[in-house]
Amino acid sequence: MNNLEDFINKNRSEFDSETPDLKIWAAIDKQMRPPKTEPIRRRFNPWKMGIAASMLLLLGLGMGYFFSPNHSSKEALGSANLPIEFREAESFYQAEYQNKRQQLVNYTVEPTLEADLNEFDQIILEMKSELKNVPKGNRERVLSAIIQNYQTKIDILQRILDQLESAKTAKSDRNETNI
Amino acid sequence: MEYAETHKEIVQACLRGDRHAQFELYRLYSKAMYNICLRMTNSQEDAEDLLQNSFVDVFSKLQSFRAESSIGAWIKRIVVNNCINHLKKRRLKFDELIENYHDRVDVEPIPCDEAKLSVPQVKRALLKLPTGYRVVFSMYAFEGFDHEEIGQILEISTSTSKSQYSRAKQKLREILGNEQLTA
Repeated sequence: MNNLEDFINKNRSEFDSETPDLKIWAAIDKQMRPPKTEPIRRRFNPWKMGIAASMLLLLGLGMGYFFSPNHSSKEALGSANLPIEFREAESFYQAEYQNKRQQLVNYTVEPTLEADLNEFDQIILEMKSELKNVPKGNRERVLSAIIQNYQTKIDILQRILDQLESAKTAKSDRNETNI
Repeated sequence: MEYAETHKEIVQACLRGDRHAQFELYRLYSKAMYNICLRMTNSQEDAEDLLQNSFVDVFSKLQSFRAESSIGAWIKRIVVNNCINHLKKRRLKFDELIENYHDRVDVEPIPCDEAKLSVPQVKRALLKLPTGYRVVFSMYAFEGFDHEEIGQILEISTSTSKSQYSRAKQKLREILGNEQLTA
């Protein structure tokens, strides 16, 4: 009598129905982040490469769409129709981003920063609007590319904050030795 | 791109400390691993802690991962080991925990109608199992470990694992039968 095992095997994915809260990723990420001792690197835009990669991915997937057999079955895809995991991740990263922005308000930052960040928002918007044209099997990749863009935005702000922070400690160290 | 290849690339990027790749690996496996933790511990709080600690372990031990098993199986092994260690810390010893139950025979077990099973019903029944039974049952029927592996992980003999499993299954059937009767 192995009906119980058969039943479990057949319904395996339904048994894995619970989704972990996003705060768990945030805690892991925090624990994994190396201590902030990185030397200040001069400005070069590694994230621009991320943008280029995103565009390529989008182009590639768009082509896939035109060659896919069932591209007539278009459906609308607002944020509300996206998977819950994605929406949760999105709002988590948006909050994280706002939080870092808030920390930056008292500093003067390079004027090009705003333009760079806007470029990301633009890409995210384009990717989202393009989603409805992407064959179902490829959506996952676009969604994770969107998430990566959110992460990169946060990385940029974090890097700036780290630089400001280490400049500040360097200064106060000097003051202490002067006394 | 091959699925396995994609995972290989993600693992390599994780080894370089790439945060996006780490998130990707977490995204791929966290749900399945969280559900394992929930089944093993029967506690949301413990499952969350175990998931967090396990993924920190995964990322910090990743250089010791050899491609002889899949990355999924490797992660699962870390998660299961952490769950077991956690349970062991809470209770005395696993076999003691198990021994407590096997001589208790219920008067007249009500047979369960296996054609009428539903997922929520089995889930509920599973959580009613004594911890020792639930762990052995989950490892075998859900996570696909064989009795030899279960024996190694729990530090019990293969034959103990086998007998615990069949007792666990019988107990589960009883719980399901009772539930079907009162439903």
